[in-house]
Amino acid sequence: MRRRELLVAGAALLAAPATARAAAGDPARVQALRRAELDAALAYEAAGAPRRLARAARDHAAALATLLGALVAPVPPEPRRLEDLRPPVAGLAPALAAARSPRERARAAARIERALREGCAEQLALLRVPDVVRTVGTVYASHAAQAALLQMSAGLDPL
Amino acid sequence: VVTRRVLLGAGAAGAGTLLAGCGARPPAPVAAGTLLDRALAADRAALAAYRGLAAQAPAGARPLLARMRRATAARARRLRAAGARAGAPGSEAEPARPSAREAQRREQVAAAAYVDVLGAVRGERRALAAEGLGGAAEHAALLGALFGLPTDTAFPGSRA
Repeated sequence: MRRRELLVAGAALLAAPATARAAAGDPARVQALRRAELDAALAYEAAGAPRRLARAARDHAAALATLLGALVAPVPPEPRRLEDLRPPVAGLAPALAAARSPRERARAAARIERALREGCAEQLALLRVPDVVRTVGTVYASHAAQAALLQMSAGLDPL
Repeated sequence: VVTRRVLLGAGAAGAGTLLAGCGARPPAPVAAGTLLDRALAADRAALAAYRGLAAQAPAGARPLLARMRRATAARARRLRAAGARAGAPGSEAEPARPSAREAQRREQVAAAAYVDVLGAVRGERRALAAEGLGGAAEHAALLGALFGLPTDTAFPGSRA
């Protein structure tokens, strides 16, 4: 199935008035989460971090964009330059870029993953549409797993 | 084209919208209490899979495995405190032999059970489900790292 077909199918389901009311606030929250994922992907790519991190962040952003389509909400353009990064990634990316060893890089990337996890946790408490909650839940879980692995690589307590 | 990976990540949302788009009826919702019961059963199954696993692990990894086992037991206790009911005795059997792969699989099943709970509850129960989901996903990833098992960490808890 093509992305366009998926978005149309989702829009048809969620355009019903009752669902639209239930979604109040969810689009802005999903947009914020997607932006954080794209910021993280850009920071990882610029710093030469392990590729799996940027790939996962872009996969998350794509899944969140699909949700926005289903919510009949705009999908904002993605950041292209490091100067465009926003918090929380903007404040954490310099340490990643400055890391000089795999252990330092893992430690800095773990901070970004923990920040993304916390961002998801905050929104999970507020989201309303069950399907959106479940999808954001899997993104949250991904950051929890990545943070644990990176902390282990950095010689920190992974739990 | 939407990749399979992204579709799986969209998880239940993707499934629901796709079903609606195809004219099929989405599955009937399951009661939150039933989903909590299932999460508890999954946690108990994961807990059983840790028994004997330390003997297979490098000595340096055993303290971490012990903490993971205790954390899984704590997840189950919190679910009980939230009203989840355990299934019939014996429904969460130990594997025939200690197996890291089986422990990882059971943690992944637990993560999926928590994702189901997330969408059905709000407030403190949702926070509880998120905590459980994060823990199960961490454990599945760490078991992969400790025992050299492949682990897909992009969308833990999504159903293949």
